[in-house]
Amino acid sequence: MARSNVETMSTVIDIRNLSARSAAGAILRDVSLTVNAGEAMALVGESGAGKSTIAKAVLGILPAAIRITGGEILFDGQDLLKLSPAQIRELLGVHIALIPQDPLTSLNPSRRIGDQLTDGLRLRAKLNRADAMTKALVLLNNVHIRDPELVLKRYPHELSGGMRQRVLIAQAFSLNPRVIIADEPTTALDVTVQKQVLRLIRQLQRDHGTTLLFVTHDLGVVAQICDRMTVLYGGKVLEQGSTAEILRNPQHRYTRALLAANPRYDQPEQRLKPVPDDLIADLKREIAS
Amino acid sequence: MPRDFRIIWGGGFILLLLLAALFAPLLSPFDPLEQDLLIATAPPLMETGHYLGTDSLGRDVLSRLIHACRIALTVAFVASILAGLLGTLLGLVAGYFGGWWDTIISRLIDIWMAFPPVLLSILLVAVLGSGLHSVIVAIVVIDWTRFARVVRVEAQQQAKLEYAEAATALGMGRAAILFREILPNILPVVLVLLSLEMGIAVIVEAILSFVGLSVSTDTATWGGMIAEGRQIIYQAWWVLVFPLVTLFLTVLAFNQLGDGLRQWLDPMLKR
Repeated sequence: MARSNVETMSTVIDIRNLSARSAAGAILRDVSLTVNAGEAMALVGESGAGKSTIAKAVLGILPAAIRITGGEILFDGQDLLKLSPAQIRELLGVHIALIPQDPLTSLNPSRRIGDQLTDGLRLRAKLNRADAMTKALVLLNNVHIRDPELVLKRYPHELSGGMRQRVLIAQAFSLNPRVIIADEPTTALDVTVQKQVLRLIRQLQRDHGTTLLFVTHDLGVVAQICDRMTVLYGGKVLEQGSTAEILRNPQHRYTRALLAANPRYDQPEQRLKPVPDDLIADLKREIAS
Repeated sequence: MPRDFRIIWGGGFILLLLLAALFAPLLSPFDPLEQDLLIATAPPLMETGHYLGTDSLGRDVLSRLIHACRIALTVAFVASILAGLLGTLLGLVAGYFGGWWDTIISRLIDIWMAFPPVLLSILLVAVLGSGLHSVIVAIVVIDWTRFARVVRVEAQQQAKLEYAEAATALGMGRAAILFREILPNILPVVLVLLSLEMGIAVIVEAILSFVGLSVSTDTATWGGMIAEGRQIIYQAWWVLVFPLVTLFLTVLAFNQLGDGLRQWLDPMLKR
């Protein structure tokens, strides 16, 4: 990952001491992280680590049950948490976009692909229908969909999972936003399709110079496409740094355990090594204090 | 194209009624109001031209039946569509915006549904005065809850799905999401309810004209004909039976069409 020399190193997203709670307890504890312009940052952690909560907080689409209790989310120096819903809506799609997790449910089943793909172009960029459709063809081409004219007229259920995820990626890039948040975009796909989709996201991100915040629990995915990574557990940042550095030389013992837990296809006889229970107990005590 | 038998016969029968209502003056062999006491309560006979007989005033039953379609279908379509619009709008608002909107609209639905509908409709028409408008208003005022209840739950469920969240993340406003994203997914349900509601509206209109609270008594209505026929059932059964059968078939057709549509439009059963 020898990209650091290309980066301008200007910070696009700067999350400072973000804390959040739900009725069940703390969800985020004093989370701080920065994402620089043009880089791909991974948020890594198991279920409940708070990675999706961070993503949703940036998008301003947290469920009502989760309350932000402190901190700030600076986007270009502007605190997103202080903006009104209308001001956030102005940013969404145009400056910050989302690639959702599940391509099967994230497209509206009763609307044609063309209509959904052009929502942003028509409502936000104010293109007329014909221009939006022409642009949509280009977008579908960019995500390597064959026969884009036909696909525009299709309904979501007529496309495969991989195709639908490509459509969602095209939609996220449609207004050329500065930041794209990808919320486990490959979890619902099988491994071969997953690889193609990752490559596609990486390529588009580089071509457009987009800043990417990539939420995942899959370290293999992180290694493939992210420049830097943040390891989370129980709503707390355990480790943050360049992906290559952390994968080669993890500092936190949870990260080390996580890496060791990755199954290796070249050693099939080796049993899976789950993260040890006593380490988890230690972590929980550490976080609670 | 739907191959469902219920859609074909239900829809076909209603289409037939629509044509009868539209071309009533051309189709009916006699003037529905023309009295001829010399042939009062004449039985159905081919030779006389009174195929379904005449009533106690010598009016042709078939002609009256055909003309009564106009009232029945006007009420069925206008009242159901208005009730559907009102109920769907309130249901969408309650289900999608939630909070106070939901509390107020849901309580309203609960209170509404505690009233016995037939009694309420008779009361309403008595207050508003008889006539076609009153019948339609009564049905809309009473039956919007049927739509609101179902649409509210559907909207709640749709709003939770990820496509709604994805639309939010695209910067679409709440109204845009409600009408562009959520409404199209609820429309099939509304269509089914609409068909069922039309059957109900036909019955309500018949009940109101049976008790003489619908349009003025010289206009032919199925309910009015049934009321008249009931009094002379032993002398002339045909005056009662034919409007009764027509009413029965009409309501059955609307219900069957609704059931057929439900299955045909359900995306899960479709594939």
